[in-house]
Amino acid sequence: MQCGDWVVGKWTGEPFQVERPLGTGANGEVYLVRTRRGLAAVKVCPNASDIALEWAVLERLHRVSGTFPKPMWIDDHGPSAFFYVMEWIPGTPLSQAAARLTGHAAAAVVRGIAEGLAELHAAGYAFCDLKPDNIVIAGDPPHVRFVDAGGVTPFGRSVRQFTPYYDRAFWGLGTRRAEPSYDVTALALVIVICLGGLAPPVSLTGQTPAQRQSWLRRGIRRWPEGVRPLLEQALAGRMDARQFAAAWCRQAAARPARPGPRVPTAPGHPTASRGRPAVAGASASVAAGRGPGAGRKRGRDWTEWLMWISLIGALTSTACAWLTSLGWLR
Amino acid sequence: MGGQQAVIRQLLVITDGCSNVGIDPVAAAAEARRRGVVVNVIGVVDKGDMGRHGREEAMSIADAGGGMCRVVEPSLLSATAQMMTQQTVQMTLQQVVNQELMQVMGKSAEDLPPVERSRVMQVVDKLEEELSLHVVVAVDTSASMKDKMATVREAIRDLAFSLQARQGESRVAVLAFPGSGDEPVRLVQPFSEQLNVTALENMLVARGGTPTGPAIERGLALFDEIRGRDEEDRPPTADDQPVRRWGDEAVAP
Ligand SMILES: Nc1ncnc2c1ncn2[C@@H]1O[C@H](COP(=O)(O)OP(=O)(O)OP(=O)(O)O)[C@@H](O)[C@H]1O
Repeated sequence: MQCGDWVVGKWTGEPFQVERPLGTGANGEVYLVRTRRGLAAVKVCPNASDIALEWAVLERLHRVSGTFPKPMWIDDHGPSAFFYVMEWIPGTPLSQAAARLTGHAAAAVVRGIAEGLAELHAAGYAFCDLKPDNIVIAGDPPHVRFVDAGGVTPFGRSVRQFTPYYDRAFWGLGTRRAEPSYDVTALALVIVICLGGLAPPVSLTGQTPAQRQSWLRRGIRRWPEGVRPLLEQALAGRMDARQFAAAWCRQAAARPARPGPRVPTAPGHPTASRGRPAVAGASASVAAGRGPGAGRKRGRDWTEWLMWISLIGALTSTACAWLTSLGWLR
Repeated sequence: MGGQQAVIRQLLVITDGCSNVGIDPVAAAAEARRRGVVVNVIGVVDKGDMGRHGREEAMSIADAGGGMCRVVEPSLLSATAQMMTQQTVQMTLQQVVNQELMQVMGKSAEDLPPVERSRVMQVVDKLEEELSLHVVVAVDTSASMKDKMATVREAIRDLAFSLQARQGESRVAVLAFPGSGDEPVRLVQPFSEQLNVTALENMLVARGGTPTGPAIERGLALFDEIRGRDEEDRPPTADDQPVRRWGDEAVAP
């Protein structure tokens, strides 16, 4: 999609005009567009499945939580552009805002994130891809919003989309199963890494989880002694999101949660997951044409090799049974 | 819900160069596909490159094996391995579903209105989580891999860790090529639901060439062994029928 382009949906006939790109992720592009209902954000992807699944999640969450963008409609454009239209969230991602936050503002952000997580958890879902790029500080007064519902997963299933440094399993701190504690650990990691102004070195990938933990421990030691046990507990996932936020804010009021000397904020950490290869050290928005591009390219050519894979006979009957039981394959 | 009986089989080759010992890896990969095993290839390169030859061979193996090929830096190995594994499961299933839709409605999922499509995809997504998944990881342990072995080990550990979180049964086996001594291929770990960390830590570089083809063949033998073992344990299922290739109605069961 180019700026100025008019797009008319194939199914709804709804038109919109592309204003400008808002961001690029590993599995799609997001644009600011002008619709008949005003400004909105459109996520476009060459893979119909990713768009369809994210749409389903946004629709379900919208009923229980206002933290994610409000879904508007889903449609196609041409044979290989699948998109949905959602509420535009103007604001600054935490990855950029972190360096400017004071102790109290940072505590308010932590509380906002925890509230958002608590709402999500009450509905039976885990965010799973909680990271500074997906947390937006929006509006006046500033409040926390989440973008990218691609990783949101019902409790009990395996985590489908995650970003290594914000993934508890990378640090040897737990499984990759979607559950509330997975997100609480991610929140603690956001605090230690992003609010702590750290940039995890690429060399961590060649280390064992135990060795990685010692890097993390050094990060925790940069925080005032009083909050360290709290961080440790949250990293271990031993409290729920709200409990943690309440405890954290009490500490922040007592003393600004400000670590020692600041180093430049860690660059964005693109997501690793189903269809989303991570690219270490490249900022998510800058990496537009490169690393995550691999993901997009794959997305584009899956139709080709899809034609060629051999199949297991039983899958057919299983899938068929499923579809039939769903009741509309008749 | 017969989902548990269907098994998705994948072979992941991790290498940094060209094969030079034993049978042609492209032929071995084609045989794998014939037997219902998808072959994915990751080329790991440190600073330099795999060379045109290595790259082309990697592509050809993946093509013949019906899978994907990526050439990445070591730091991206883990993410890439997981992405490929999941993506391959997703594609395999979507294919089956599309085939069904074609037969029943004369439409693919893409031809359905988005809201209905979204419902189909949710079913596919759930199946993806519940199906059995068997993965053989074949690791190039030739001398040039020395500096990358630590990262490779962590990537395998991490992949196994992700698979363990699935609701469906997942098993991983690990092969190293070349093996030690005269063995072209060494079994580091047989199919298992838990990764044997000590065995993995003992996976070191060995002297010898790069027998990629024999490694793929050995991987296929592993799949055959557990297929055999499982058959003894349970009555035959549809899964034991001949493998069907996309668009190849003649061999369809
Ligand atoms: N509703 C929105 N309003 C404003 N900006 C948005 C909105 N949705 C997404 N963005 C921007 O676009 C970027 C990419 O979107 P998103 O994270 O959904 O893509 P993705 O392909 O899933 O990325 P990822 O690699 O994080 O998985 C976001 O980081 C954010 O900056």
